[in-house]
Amino acid sequence: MAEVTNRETEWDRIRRVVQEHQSALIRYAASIVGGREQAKDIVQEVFLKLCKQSWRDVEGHLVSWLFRVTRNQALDALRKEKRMSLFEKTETLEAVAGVGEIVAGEARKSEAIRSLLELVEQLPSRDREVVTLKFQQGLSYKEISEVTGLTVSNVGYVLHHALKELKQRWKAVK
Amino acid sequence: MKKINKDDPRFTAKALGEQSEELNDREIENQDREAFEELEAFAKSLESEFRAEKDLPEKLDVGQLMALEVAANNRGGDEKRKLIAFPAWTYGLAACLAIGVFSIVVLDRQATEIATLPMAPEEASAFRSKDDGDAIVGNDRLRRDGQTEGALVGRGQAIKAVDEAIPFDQPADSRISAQRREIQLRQAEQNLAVATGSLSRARAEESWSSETNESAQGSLRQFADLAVNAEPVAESQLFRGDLVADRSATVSGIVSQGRATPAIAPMGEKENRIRLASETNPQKKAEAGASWTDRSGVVHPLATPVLHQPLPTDREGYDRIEENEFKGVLDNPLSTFSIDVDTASYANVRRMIESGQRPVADAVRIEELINYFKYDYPQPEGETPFSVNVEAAKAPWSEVNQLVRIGLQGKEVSGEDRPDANLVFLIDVSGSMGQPNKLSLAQESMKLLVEQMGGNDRIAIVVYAGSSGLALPSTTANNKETIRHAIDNLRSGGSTDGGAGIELAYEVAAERFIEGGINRVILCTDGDFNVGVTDDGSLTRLIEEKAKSGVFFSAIGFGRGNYQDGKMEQLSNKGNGNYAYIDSQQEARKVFVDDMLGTLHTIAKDVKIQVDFNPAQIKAYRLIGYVNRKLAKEDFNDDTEDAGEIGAGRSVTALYEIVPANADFEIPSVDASKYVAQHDSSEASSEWLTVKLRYKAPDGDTSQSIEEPFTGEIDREFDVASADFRFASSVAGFGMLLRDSEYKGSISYDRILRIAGNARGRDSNSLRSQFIELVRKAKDLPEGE
Repeated sequence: MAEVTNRETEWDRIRRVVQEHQSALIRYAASIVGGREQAKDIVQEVFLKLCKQSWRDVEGHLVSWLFRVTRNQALDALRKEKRMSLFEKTETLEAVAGVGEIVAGEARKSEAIRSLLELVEQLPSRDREVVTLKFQQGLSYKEISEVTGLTVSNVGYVLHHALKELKQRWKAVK
Repeated sequence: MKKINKDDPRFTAKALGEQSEELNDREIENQDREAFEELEAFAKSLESEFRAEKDLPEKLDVGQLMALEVAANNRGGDEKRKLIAFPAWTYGLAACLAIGVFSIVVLDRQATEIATLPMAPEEASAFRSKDDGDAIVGNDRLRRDGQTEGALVGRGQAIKAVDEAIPFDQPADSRISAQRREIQLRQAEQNLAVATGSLSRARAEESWSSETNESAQGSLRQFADLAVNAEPVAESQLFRGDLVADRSATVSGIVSQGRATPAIAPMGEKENRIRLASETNPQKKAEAGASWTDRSGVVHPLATPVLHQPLPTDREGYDRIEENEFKGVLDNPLSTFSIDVDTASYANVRRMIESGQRPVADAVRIEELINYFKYDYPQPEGETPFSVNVEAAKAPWSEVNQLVRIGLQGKEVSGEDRPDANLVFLIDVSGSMGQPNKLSLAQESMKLLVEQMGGNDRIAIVVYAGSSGLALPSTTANNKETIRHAIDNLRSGGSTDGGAGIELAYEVAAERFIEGGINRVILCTDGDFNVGVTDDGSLTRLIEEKAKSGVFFSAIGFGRGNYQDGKMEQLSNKGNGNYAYIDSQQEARKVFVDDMLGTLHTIAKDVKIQVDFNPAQIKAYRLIGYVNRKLAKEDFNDDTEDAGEIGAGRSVTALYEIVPANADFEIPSVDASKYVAQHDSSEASSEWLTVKLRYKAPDGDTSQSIEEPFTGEIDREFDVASADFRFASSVAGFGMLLRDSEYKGSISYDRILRIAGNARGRDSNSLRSQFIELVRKAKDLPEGE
């Protein structure tokens, strides 16, 4: 680990990364796990991991590193929930506290579609994820591939079809 | 140049502006030009929709950031000595506060004294150190200065936070989510420290205007929330709907010691007491004949509809508390009771007051209020497990009566000497536990506890809801990661009906029974305790029976609205256990970190106190609190009679109000027996009273006794009594006021505030300062509503 100078502490560096990416990462995590508070916890974990990581290991591909780790953490969390099949997952916390939650997947199907984003939410999870990474986070095909583990051409394929689908549905709504 | 058509994924890639040689070399088929432009436009609109969402940025909580800060700084070099650097935005925050507090300070006639306090931001890190005398002294000066007190909102919490600063040798990330709140508090303290010093404003303002401005404002908002309302109880009634499972029968028929106690009085109205119509069959009475009287004197039958009224606390069950009366010493020279180390009532009462409600009288158990606080009693000498400390002075609410305090101090046992623990958590994961401050708080609490446990300690988790199950098999505490995972995985959902929940818990505990260790089932729930054994009687018997086998039972209550206080207390008593109520992260810390392992380590059980009053000196006495802990005088020497336990390092305090023999006081007693020998005061002993104690070793069956005659000064002014004495008295007075006790005498909120304010002592965990805040809040509560 590089020496920490008085001018820029470790925390200063981390903090810059946090400020720049937290919003995007929280949104991304929330798009996977569904709850905003849980998403925040996940993202905090990600930054904690970053604290343990050597800068050299993440230099150059920090963004995709962050997204990849967020993705893994979020999927882990999701898997664990599923394993706990004994108890259905209820996001009562958010509902009670009145925190605006990001509802994923099926939940809004019955409501009238008002925006493109709602259509995106209805996409199958892999498509939704790639579309989100592309349009929300502005990642390149290559970065998306690094985050998701799909090949670059796979990403292209997914986006191609997802957009086609979205466009059609959007037309139908309008 | 090669062409691509609209069915080629590269077509989309190009429309999305993806850059690559491959794509640059390609051109769109002419017939697809229009489709291409359409797709480009579509992509743009999609992007802009996402961007609109981006305008509402998501942010980590301040606490999470602080945790990251710790982790980030721990990363380089010597972890133990490294202190947290303050990010620029804390200075920003400080500036805001500084300006606010500065204006108050300037108005203060002691402004100069305060302004000279040595608290530059660079030195604020000193606040992290427990030992740092200067910082604490600085705070003390502020505390004593009544005029600034009002200005420093959240000061109590902040100071506590300082005292409980995280030890830096802990791996920083391991306790993070659990300590988020703690960290927020610490941060509040830092900011206050900086602000009170009103120093370095220039520097702060410089940072304020820097790029972190935005983040600082966000933090400020959060801080403001935190400071103004440290524990906002924001539970909505939304979830009342799913609680309508018909449990009214349980609610209406809690039977305690042969007495029906259907305590469903609507919140905050002490007049709404339930009157029992007949005195025969208690269960029947509760269901059929009970009624309650409202403030206008109208008597309402206690029918089911009352139970279903959607009042916020209508499902909370409290056992009726009938305060102890004065007893004539001639008729009843012996007063016998079991100790009680529980503190749940205080946290519960605090929760009600902080949510703006006047506590239900029956929720106020004065002894639990008093025992919530630590008192500075000396450690026992020799082999005795506790020291006995008696003190007396005038009662602050009476011209004539005296107060006698009996304080027991359990022996401290150092961490290494603590026996190994085998804990089985029995967690209620029913839907209602998903509300804030319930399951989430239970999870954080357990994580805090896991950090305290050693490699030989074991923890297991059994959950119950729609079905029950083993969420974590008994695991040694060095597998912290595994345990934390299991804890994190707990989710709420389903209705409470635990099948074999409690049996499973006991089974797991028995499997890993540690001979001579702490074996305990710990129930965490927000309400109805339907763990499979349905009727109260057999549940009580089960718990009693298991306690005999060496597995004790503790109950921890969470949340509100559906909360069965009386039942929880009763069960934990039968199980030789403790009962606590947790309403905040801070309380979780107190119960799980400061108290739990000590509390669980029982150093003496069935501890009974019998006070023998000398009629030559004392005409009458009244035990304050301990209402449901009273024992018959014969029980004292009866070793089969169950009583309270005392844990390592815990203290227990009881107060008697006594009427001196020469006082002009009519004892509301029965006719004196004509056979009782007339006592002759000239021959009588000059002793006032003798305190006798009986206790058993944790695994013993026969009791040992201690006798401690009190010959000390008794008729002395209240003000010369020790700070501990005065503080305990003020807490007792507070309890009596909340209960609107007929014995409250001349006590008033202002008087309590004065007494407690002067008796704060060292208050290292600032619980006493918080008490004062609480009294203030209670004072401002609307009367009777």
